[in-house]
Amino acid sequence: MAYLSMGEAHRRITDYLSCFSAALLSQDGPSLTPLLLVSSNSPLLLSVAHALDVFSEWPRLVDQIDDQVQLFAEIVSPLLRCLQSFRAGQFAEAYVSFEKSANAFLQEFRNWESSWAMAAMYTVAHEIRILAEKADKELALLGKNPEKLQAAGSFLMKVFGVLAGKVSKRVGALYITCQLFKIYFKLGTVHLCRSVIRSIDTARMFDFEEFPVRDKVTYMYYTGRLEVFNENFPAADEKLMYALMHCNPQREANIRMILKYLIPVKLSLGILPKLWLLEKYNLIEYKDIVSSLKSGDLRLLRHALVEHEARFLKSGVYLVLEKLELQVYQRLIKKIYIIQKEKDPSKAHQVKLETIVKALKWLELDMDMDEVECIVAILIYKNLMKGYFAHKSKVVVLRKQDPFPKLNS
Amino acid sequence: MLKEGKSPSIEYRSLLLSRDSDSYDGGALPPLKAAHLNAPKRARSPSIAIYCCAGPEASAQVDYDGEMQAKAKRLVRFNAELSQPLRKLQDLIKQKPLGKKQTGTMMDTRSVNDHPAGTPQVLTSGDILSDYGGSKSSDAVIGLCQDMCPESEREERERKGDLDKYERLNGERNQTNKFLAVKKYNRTAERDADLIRPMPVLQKTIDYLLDILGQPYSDNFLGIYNFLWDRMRAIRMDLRMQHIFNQDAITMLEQMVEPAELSLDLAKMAPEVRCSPEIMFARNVARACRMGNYITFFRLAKKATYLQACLMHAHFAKIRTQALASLHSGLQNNQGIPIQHIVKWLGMEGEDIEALLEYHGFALRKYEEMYMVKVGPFCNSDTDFPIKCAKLVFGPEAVRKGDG
Repeated sequence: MAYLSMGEAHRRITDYLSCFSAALLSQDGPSLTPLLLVSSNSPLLLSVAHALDVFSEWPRLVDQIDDQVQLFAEIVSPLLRCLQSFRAGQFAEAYVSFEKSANAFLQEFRNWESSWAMAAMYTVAHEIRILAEKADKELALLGKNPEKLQAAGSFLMKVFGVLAGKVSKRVGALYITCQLFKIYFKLGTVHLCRSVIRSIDTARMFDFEEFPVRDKVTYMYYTGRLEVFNENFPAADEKLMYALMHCNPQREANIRMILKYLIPVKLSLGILPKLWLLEKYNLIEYKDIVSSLKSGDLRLLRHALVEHEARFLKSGVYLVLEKLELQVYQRLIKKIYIIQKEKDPSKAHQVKLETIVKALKWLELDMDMDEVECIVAILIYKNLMKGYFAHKSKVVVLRKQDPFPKLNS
Repeated sequence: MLKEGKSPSIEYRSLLLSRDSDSYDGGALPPLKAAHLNAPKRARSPSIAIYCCAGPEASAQVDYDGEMQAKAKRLVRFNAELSQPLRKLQDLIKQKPLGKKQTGTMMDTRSVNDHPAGTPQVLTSGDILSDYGGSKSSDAVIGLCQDMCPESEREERERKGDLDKYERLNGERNQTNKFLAVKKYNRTAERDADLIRPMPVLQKTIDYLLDILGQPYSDNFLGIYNFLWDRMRAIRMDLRMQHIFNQDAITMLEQMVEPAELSLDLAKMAPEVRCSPEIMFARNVARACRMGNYITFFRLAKKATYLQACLMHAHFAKIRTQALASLHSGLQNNQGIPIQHIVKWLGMEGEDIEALLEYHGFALRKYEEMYMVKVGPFCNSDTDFPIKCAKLVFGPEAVRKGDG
């Protein structure tokens, strides 16, 4: 660490404070934002943090600033303390300080008529989440209760309320919502998303089209994921497709994230992605699954689920993929039907349960007649197959016309 | 062989309906409408016959002496099963801790309460959170309550007159005693040790509840069974609060239907935990449940430990409804399946299969054996048939049933 003189430290701190004060007074958003980016480790903030360590009496410098913003000290002092703690790697403390600053900032923000500080508010929202995540990690390592991310969520709910309250500020609500989504998803409390979604979707004050594209894409991505969790595939398809269509095509990482969820949805709707797509966006984990759907190879599907279990569970699509079993069964029976049709078209529509049992045995899957009959019944019930089964003769009689309908929404 | 002639199930239905329905005219029986049997989204139906149907020797003998014997057998088995987990607890202590279970869920309960006034109302996912109980850490609570119902609750319910018919002393609304009162189910999990009943007391409580089951059939059996369902739920809660069983697996078996958080919960588990026998069992059960694969589901139920089966039992009704709906859709009109197969497939040994089938619109016809036959549309697809212990229906003139 380079040597820093008291004089130099003093200068850095007062510079920072004057910049801050000037930005507030002249309502200069772009100047304010960089001063808040605690987690960015920007050279500016690192140097200020260093100066704070050297010039330990910096709090009185804050008092010396004659600022017309009432809560100036309440915003800036905790913020500076946060910078110090962050640089020292004490994230829980950094969070606590930042939260104080953020609350004070929000109070002032509430009073400003125009939305000049919107970008700064976004920054605060983003920073508080990042700091909370780091704080919780630290707390968990120390064996303490990781509660900061949840606290950040509460703060953001307050911000949401403030933004919703003023016409000029409403446009920021979606960004805050997305930050909240990220928090809830991280915490695993996804059901808490519901209340915010309700506000966005139903409150007449919000016009979805007015929000910036970037926020709309993020919003649709998260709400689409929620639909995936709840297995509402048509809705999930709609939302994720929106996100995909409106996402900047050069943002490949984002496209990949959307596809990661869109693919299971499409699979559930019977639409298979091409291999090049999986390869281009590095989603090879879906390759075997797609193959199994094409070939009716149940063993392959199960194997793929086991192999990528951790990954699929983490992204929350495991259960969706598991359900594809039914479609694989359907495909298997369809193959039998096709083979039979080639041999003897007049009898093709009658498939013995025995045949299905044999086919499964060939795939090293041991299922008995009762279970096969059960699967057949389910397939018919779910409209994956049209026909009926005759219990006594142990036969499935398929409808002559289109016995394997396309999956409907 | 089943008794022919007047089916007891019709009697039973008419008695049920005479409580509720004005429109019963003796012709076509209207579908069962009891509001409290309609669970809102997860179709959980109350059931007490857990002790009857789960387990390998599942077919209970239903003649009177046989009943007594069977009941004694059940109690013995249940006792054996209850003492087992205490050994399991030792095993659990020896292993690695089961991961920070559901930091998500426990934060849910807190954040619900923490929101400052004026912020948008937060919805919980209802059953999921409330039943879970939201215990804060992995410390088990040690129950200290020596009665079937904690004294403070007893006194409060006496004051409020909140006593079930079976808890009232001399029929008085405001009087009970510690031999009659049974702790009620409470959505919020209290961690106060004085309010939680330890294992021996829970065992006593179950014995007591089983005794009530043994009482003669009356036309208030809906009352019994809601009472028993609620009190059993409270027992499960006490078991859970004391971390007596593998909590993750338990919660999974209970939460089988909710995909979102289950997926995230599984992801948080370490691989060894995720693939542990209890969790794998729960996952296989859950998969079967989601697929509607009743064959696998009930085969697993028959292999389950008694307690696992108790927990799975909450879903039996739903699975059976779906199973019958599937079979219905696959049958041609006037075609059917021998009832003994259905009994086996749906784990209905010792239960009233006819009533279930008729409830859903099947006809019962005898060919070389009894068949369930599709004769019309599937009925009551959204209201599960309440599962009952066979002897509640048949009473003393019960008929011996062969193994399905």
